[in-house]
Amino acid sequence: MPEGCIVSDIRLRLLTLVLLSVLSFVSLFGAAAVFCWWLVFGAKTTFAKNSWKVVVPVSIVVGLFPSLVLYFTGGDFFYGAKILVLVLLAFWFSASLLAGELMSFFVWVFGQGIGFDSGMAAEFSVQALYEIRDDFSRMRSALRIKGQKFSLFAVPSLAAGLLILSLRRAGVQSSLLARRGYCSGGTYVSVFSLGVTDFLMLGSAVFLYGVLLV
Amino acid sequence: MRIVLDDVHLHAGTFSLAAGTIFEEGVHMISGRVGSGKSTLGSALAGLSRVGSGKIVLEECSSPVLLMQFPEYQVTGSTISREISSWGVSRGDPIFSRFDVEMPDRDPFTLSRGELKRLMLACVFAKDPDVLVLDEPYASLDPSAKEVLTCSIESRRGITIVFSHETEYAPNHAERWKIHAGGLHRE
Repeated sequence: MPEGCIVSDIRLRLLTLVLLSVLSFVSLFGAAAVFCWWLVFGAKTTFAKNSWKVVVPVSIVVGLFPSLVLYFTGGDFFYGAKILVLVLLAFWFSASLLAGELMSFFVWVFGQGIGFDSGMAAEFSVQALYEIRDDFSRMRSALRIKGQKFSLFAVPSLAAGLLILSLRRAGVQSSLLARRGYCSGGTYVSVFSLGVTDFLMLGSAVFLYGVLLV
Repeated sequence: MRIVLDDVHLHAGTFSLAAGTIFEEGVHMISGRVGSGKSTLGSALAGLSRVGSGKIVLEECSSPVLLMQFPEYQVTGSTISREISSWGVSRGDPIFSRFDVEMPDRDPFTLSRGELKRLMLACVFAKDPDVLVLDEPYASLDPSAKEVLTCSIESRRGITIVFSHETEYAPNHAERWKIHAGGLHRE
């Protein structure tokens, strides 16, 4: 069972994500409906693992930029609203991921060869993203120690630090895998734990899909 | 000058740490197994993270300076000279020669981990704060640099709190503490 004994199945969540993404992309009403869905099912999980200081500005900026570009080029201004909802969905899905779920999913889909390799790469990638977030948080603390504020002048040094730390960790991980004799593929037993919430989320997504599209 | 830990409780992930003690002026060497909460306590002492309950009171001392375990976190200057300036210290301070820090306009990230650690140690000692918190300062240093570090800690005024596994390098007069069974205990 995934960590914390949380009952959830990535397969159903992924299917829900695909349905909602298509729905929010094809029409503005769809995007509005998916935003409501996110408020009901996704917001709590999203903010449990991400600070609103990250979620809100990133979603608005990523949504606003294409809207402005399209506004000045004669396109659909509300395209940005769709993008905003997609970004919120991405935050929700990444926040809902549990350790080992991607491995289980890829092995289930592609088997013990390519599936194992892809799953491991995906797990390492997610882990690396969390580590970069922690590194960045420590770097901001370091700026506070020096009595400095985060500014554009510090970006090159901070970026170099993040890159070097990430490369060092990747080097350690690859050495460890090589020492253990890893070449490709492996043996992994996929474990999924179906939860009631998964069915509720998927059911509501299918309902919205049916009402608004079909 | 002292730091009062008034029934402090720290929580991070699966561990919790309780501490209720006073750090007087001098050197305090704190050891404990990996994951026992040394870095978390160091961060809290430096005022960089919140405590779960209780409070940390700094009496008659200015803001603490923390040297993090990984020196890469604290690099903000594009050259060694700029990095030294970013700490608000003078490049002419003799501590830089004691730690064998050269002053070329090299990018700090081209230094080895040990060289970068020596640079950061020299910077925090040159800054000479009332309260200095060092998180695993002996890691990545060669034996001669470790001796220089111990001498630098011994000759410092104020409160110096050292979190380290390498207790054999602790200054003789250091007060020794251990994080054990979720608490901070004097040895």
